[in-house]
Amino acid sequence: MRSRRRWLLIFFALLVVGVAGFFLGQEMGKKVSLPPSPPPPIALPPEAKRAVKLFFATVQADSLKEEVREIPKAASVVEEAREVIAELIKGPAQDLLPTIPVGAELKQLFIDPRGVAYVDFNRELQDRHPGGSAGELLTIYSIVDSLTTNFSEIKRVQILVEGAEIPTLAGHIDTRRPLSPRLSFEGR
Amino acid sequence: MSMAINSRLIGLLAPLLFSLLLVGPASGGTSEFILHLEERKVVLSIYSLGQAEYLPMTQVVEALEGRFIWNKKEKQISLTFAGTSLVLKEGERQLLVGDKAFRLRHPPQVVEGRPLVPLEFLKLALVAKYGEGQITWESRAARVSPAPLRLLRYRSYPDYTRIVLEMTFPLGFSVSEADPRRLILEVKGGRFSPGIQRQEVGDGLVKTIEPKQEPDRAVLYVAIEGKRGPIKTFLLKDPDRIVIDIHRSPDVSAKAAETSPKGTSSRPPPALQPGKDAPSFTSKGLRTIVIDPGHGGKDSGAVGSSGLKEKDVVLDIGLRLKRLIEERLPAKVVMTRSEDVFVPLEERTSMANQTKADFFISIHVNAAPRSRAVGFETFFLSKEPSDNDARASALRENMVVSLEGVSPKEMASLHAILWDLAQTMYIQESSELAEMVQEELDKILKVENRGIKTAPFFVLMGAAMPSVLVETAFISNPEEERKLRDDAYRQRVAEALYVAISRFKARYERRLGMGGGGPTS
Ligand SMILES: [Zn+2]
Repeated sequence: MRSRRRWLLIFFALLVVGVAGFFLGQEMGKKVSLPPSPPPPIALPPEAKRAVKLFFATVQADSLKEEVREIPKAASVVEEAREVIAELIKGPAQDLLPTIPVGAELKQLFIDPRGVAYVDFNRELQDRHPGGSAGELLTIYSIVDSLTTNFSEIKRVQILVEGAEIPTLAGHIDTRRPLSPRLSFEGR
Repeated sequence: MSMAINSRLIGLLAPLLFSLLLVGPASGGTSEFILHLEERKVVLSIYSLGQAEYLPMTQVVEALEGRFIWNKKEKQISLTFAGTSLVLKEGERQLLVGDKAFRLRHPPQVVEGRPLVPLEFLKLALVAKYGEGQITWESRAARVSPAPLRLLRYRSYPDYTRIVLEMTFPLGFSVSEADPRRLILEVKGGRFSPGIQRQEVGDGLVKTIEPKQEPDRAVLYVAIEGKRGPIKTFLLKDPDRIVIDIHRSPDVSAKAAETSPKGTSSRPPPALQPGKDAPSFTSKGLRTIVIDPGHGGKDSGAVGSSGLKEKDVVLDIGLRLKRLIEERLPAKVVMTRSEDVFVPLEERTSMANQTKADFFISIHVNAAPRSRAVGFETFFLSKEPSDNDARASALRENMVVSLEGVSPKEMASLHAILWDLAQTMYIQESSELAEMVQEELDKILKVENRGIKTAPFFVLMGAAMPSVLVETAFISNPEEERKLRDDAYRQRVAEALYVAISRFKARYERRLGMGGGGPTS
């Protein structure tokens, strides 16, 4: 017991000297090298994928139809949701029409505790939107429906442009508040 | 005994070991500080110098979206954002936030030509920018909740102007009305979302609404241009919001009442309305129709492949419709615009409420590029969840005014009944009008009938009357664009809309047991 205590004391003394020396050196020389930028996030195995439903416009522009596509599985819903938007921006593979104007890019995506996804696009989403309420409805709800369908954590979607809420995207649909999914476009 | 010494030793050792672990920059150990700024997530790198934790100033500046000034000669480092500046001096522990001085535990340092600031600087900067109440601290993270003041809107009614400030949670506020020309609303701990900006109202009572962000509160300055009467302020729930009603001076209102018979613009359902305050159409028939040609001015709306603009087409159709109604019906028409000018959407509905219009019809032409879409469709607001949130709040606000003097308990149940009734009433009327518009367009135009639909159209929100929006054709379809250039075609569209309106008016009046008032032609 006694020898162990002595050993500990010696260790402690050495430690104190070492630490003091370290600080002294730092104070005198202010020589601290900055570590490189933080390491990249842990990558998941490349084979991990999940199927998602993306909503694109029909050729009659009267409704949205789903296209199933695979995205890499990610560590969080936010990352996967970003991936869904990225796929939506790429447009449909066939038979359907794109809903996101060329040049529009996703800037930020954030999900609040109440299940509202805030999806922030660059200016192009608005500036290059061709207008018309049919086109506007399809753009908005392709985003809203694609997110709410694939992620149970997302209940409603707030579209933002350059970080701010917009009254409307092209002069028709109220986008000041989070929107619920619109799963039917049928007229009567 | 020895156990006690051992644990004491470990107690002494632990902080040392801990600081050793933290120091380790040479070994490359970086840790992170995570900032959740409303919708943004920002990761800052923590560097340990001695016993203190530091962050690169450039990252802090970027995260707070401020301006960074580094006066190398004066060794002064400063961060400036709207309203406030934070000033530091290399190697010194004093921090100036505006004109207040703070003493930091660790001085800022410059390492390898990069300024580093202690972690506590970030905390002070966050408080300076967002206010204490908005920030949740964790050991290596901080969360700034979304701006609690999310939406500012107003609406003009004949007797008053209503200003509504929506919040994500209830905040304390005060209203100062000492100055007859200006009203000041202060919200303690309030922060405006970026979308809240100065609004030009210019309705003869309120001139402008100007938001000003102060470090610890949000202030709204309402400039009054008319002669005002009483001001009523109340707090409503779902969503939480402050409602300010600025009434016109009673003598001014009396004059206004001569030209437009009385009746509350909020227009509660007739069933629960005492006779003399009944909405105008129950006794006089439909008198005022608002025609809203979409877009205008800087907003062209959709543009066809040959260059035809939505704003020009719909203005022409709207003016043709106005002439038809005025020639043939005993009704007044109010145009939200009669020329190529930009009119904000909230102003269009305000105009309709202000003139106590009986119904509202917004005219547009549609677009969906690259599609094969053709034809016409008509929209109204419904009870669908997507339309509901905004409309519910607009109508509930209207209810409050008509229910003053009722006890809170009665109020709650009456409120629910009235709200349901009013909503059902407008939905019913709006859908009937939409149906007639589709039927008449279908008879006159030989193109695809895309049906009646519902969607949360901004211009239909908060209209205290039945309202529809008609998309008369697809300007993105070259064939339909060509037709839209033709005066005769536009006239046919206007005729169809006219017939729908006159049918709606006649049916309405028949149902209310009134004679006459039908088409005179
Ligand atoms: Zn339009």
